[in-house]
Amino acid sequence: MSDHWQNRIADFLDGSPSEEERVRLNEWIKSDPRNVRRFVREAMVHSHLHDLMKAEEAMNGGRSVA
Amino acid sequence: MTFYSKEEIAWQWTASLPSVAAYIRSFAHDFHDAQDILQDVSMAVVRKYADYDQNKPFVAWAIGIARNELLAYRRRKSVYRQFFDDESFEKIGEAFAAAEDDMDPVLEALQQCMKKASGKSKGLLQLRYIEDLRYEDIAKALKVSVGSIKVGMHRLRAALRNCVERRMNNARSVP
Repeated sequence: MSDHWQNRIADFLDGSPSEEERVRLNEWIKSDPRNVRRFVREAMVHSHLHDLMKAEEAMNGGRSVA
Repeated sequence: MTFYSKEEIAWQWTASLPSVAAYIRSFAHDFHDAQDILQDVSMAVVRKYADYDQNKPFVAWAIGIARNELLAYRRRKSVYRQFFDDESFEKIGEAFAAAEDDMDPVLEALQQCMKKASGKSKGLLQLRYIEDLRYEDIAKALKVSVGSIKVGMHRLRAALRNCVERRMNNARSVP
């Protein structure tokens, strides 16, 4: 898959797609069952990143993890 | 009336939790909102457990409950731009249920890949995932352009994605 679509999925999950991007991503998802799975894989990583960063923050006692 | 043990419900819910959380976070982009929805789903799971058909995958049933909670959230908050049309929404829910077995391997690979992330990358992830900031807010906090944050996040995600895929492919090829 091209980085273009990966980036569009990432922008969607980060809450910052334009309306045009959202509509195009929606059509891309429907165009091929593999694209649905690609969206889900990206969303899995997104969700795990949230949990991992939260866990790291908790381990550091709420201090910066960077 | 059939009674189910708390342990039985807890075990099934805990196993499905990562998939349900990821599904909810796909559409509830504010992490606090997503957490509230997840709690509502967990309570509904306990309340409706007697309706669950034990011959079908639990995760698909729990995602069905999450689907209804997400639709209620969409109406309540008028966040229609965070959603796709019904066809895509349904397909994504089904795909999450079908991909349950991938959740743990992706997590294990990602944990390893995160060890290689630079301090700068961790800083970006902290602002996005712990502070729950959007690109625009991250750009303001770091006094840089929104475009540079977007490019930075795209590169970071691509590096993590490639690392995760490589690790999962390597794990599959081990006899």
